[in-house]
Amino acid sequence: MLELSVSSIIEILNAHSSMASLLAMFTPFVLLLELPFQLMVIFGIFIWSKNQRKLSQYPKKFPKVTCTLLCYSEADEIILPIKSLVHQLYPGEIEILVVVDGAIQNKDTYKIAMDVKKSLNDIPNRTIRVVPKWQRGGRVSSMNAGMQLATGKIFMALDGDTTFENDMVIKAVGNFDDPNVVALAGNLRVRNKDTSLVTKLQNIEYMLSIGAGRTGLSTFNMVNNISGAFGIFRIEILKLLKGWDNGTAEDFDITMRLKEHFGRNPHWKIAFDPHVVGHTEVPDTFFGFFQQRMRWEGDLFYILIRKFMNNIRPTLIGGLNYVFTIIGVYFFQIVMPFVITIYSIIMIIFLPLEYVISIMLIVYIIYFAILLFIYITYILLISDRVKEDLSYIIYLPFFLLFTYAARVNAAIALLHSIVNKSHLDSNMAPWWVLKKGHY
Amino acid sequence: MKKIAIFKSSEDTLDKFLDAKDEFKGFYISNRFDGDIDALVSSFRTSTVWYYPLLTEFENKDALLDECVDLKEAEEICDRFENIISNLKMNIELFKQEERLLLYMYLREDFSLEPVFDENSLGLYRYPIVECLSTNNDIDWVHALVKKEFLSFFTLVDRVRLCTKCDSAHLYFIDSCQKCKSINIKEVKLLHCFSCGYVDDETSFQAQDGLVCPKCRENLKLIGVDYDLPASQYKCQECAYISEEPLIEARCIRCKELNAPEKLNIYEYHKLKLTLFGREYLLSDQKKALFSIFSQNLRYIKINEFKMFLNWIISAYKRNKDFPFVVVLLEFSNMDDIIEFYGLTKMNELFSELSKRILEFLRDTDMLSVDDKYATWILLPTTSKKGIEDRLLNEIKNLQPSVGPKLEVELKTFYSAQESIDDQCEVNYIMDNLKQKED
Repeated sequence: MLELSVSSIIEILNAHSSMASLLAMFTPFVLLLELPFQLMVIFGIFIWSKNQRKLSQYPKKFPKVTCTLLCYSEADEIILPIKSLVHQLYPGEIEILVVVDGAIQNKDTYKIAMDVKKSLNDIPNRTIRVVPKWQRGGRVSSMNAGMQLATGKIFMALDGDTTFENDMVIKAVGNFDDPNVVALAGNLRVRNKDTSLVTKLQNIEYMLSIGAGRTGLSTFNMVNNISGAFGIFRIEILKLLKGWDNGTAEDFDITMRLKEHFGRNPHWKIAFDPHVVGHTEVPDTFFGFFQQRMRWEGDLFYILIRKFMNNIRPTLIGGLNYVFTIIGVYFFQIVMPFVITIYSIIMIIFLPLEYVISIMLIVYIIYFAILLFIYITYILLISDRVKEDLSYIIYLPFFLLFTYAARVNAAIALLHSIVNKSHLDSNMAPWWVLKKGHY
Repeated sequence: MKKIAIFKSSEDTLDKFLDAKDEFKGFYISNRFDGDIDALVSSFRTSTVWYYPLLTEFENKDALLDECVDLKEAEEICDRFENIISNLKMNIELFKQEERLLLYMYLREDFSLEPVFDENSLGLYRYPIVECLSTNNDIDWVHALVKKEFLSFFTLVDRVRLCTKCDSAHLYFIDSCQKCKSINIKEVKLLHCFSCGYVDDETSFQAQDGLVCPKCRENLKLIGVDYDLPASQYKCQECAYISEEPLIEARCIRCKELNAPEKLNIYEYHKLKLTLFGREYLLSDQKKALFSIFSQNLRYIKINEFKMFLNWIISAYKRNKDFPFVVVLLEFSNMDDIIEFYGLTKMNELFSELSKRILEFLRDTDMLSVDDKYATWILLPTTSKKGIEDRLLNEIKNLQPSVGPKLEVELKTFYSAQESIDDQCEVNYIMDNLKQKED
């Protein structure tokens, strides 16, 4: 079999008279779209790294910050996130709003929040307020409630099971020294990264897609998503947007709605800082992972097609963002999973097995080269935990297979969303709330 | 026509007004009064005119004074008081402290009995009018009035904690070492580095750009993963003992007793209001109402007339021993409890029946009276036979309710035939002797 595959590779290589014609075979996917996109990200990282050296570490002003911690049934898992916010190194005032959604059925979480508040109430410049939302209203209503109660100038929407590095607030606030920055996406790392192979692979994914990807995109003001688990806003901008909209993928939704103001406010920026870090829990089984992505991808389709299709115009969101959204979001996130899946199916049906393996191997090698380059760039220019991040390099070969499986899974999720409107079946909000959405 | 007594100068003393022949409907302290107001007010509220209005021309905050009004308004207020008092037809001089307080509150429109903060008082608050009306130092009787629902708690003013030994609210809290009880303890935040296990005061970890372990030089960023900050600890500077909580004790400034905070007696000060029930009680004293009906049924004569007849019969007996007589004193010792238990209506029935039975065995010449202490006196002329006690007691015994508390009756008799009656013997001597006689 191996011999057959190797001879197939040689055959394929020989079939092409020149290198150019070989590359042309992969042109539509790799050279035309994927490669320029990844090059742009790498280019962005280099620019970011250059600018980074000029920036001072600490903010000029220390405005009051409101951290809204969105809790549901986390129970004692909320202790560490609250503690991580209370013990921030930030010298200014931090208000921590612990919003417990459905506090009637989540009595444990509510009680634990009250106990933590009691035990940590004497730390200077820190206030903890527990906000019980007796009737469950979903994440969006919790964030909007937090926004209304907030007294800080900088508002953070944070997940109840995410813990934050002790310089998170100070570094986040530093980004707002630039008056054009209206929102900041925080970097998420995987807390349970060493639990299983799937968490290790997700750790690499978070490093590359969030840590490296968004750093590169942020240079061109093209941050694709302000994560719902870790979004930071100027409160007046949030109030201008009237908070988050009912529905799933609300984080992507608010990012898009923010971008809709870019046409009129070309100086506005959505920043991303890889050193503003939160650590979150990820699914520790493959089944859990694919289930989670099934939901995310499905929600994405709902947002991109059902809600925003008519609003993606260069005049509204700005020219560069328009191009990026069409390629980076619509093409990569919606079209590509189908293309890859259908391409694979056709190959398996119509080509001999050894030929399929050979093509896959060539694609694999090309992608691995790109991946390795981005990974090294990330380690050298971005990572603030170099030793730790570098230790995952041995899992890099599995990572591509993992992404491939995730893309196929995404295709299934999109299909499910198109056919079954799966976004109306999210566990992020109760069904009676989701059904009231307009899309 | 009654007047208002006006205190114009230090020469106008309360005694001067009380000794004067004029009758007053109220009292008024003018701006010109140069005497000791505090002394005047407290002597006024403990005098025979304690319930009268004591108005001022000047703004005052003294709880024992009534409003600040001009003389014209004072006239109106005093007229209103006078009108109410004259309609009450009560013997206010005989009032006990409970009735006095009820009357004081009743006379004043929308009056609330408010605790006054006094740092020099044992319990930090006083009810000045209660102190003036009390026959002893405690205020438990005020609580008894609340229990009887004559007064009600209206607003909670304060909650104080009292020494378990002397009931003083003058306490201060001291925190000390749990082990050696030294007060030389200091709050320290201990930091625990997870990478090398080093534990020390947080300050020794503080570096320029965050927390760095002084032992292993590791950058400590994420609480719960890189390091932990257990809640504040207390370190004794004498014996180096470290504890989560210091030993907290409350020391009484007055008696020096050391109290455990959770063992301190809690006392709540309320504003009190006269209830509708309290008003009714005051206006229709139940015992008085009951005896009034009782004596009507018995065709009683007034106590003075009774004394006149007794005097006549004593004189007659002194001249001629052929006219012996018997005096019977009937006292009901547990009237209040019995009325409280059975209610006024039931007691009225019982006493109506009792009056009927008594009338049945009385002869036309016998005379009966009820005095102001609700004692029933019977004069039986030309009687020397013994056995009247037994007959009366038997009748009462037959009347007693079959369940519940029994009416306690004390029956005392004076037989002229058996007692030595000399020339000095007269009415009051016989009646006083009977009252003091043991059963």
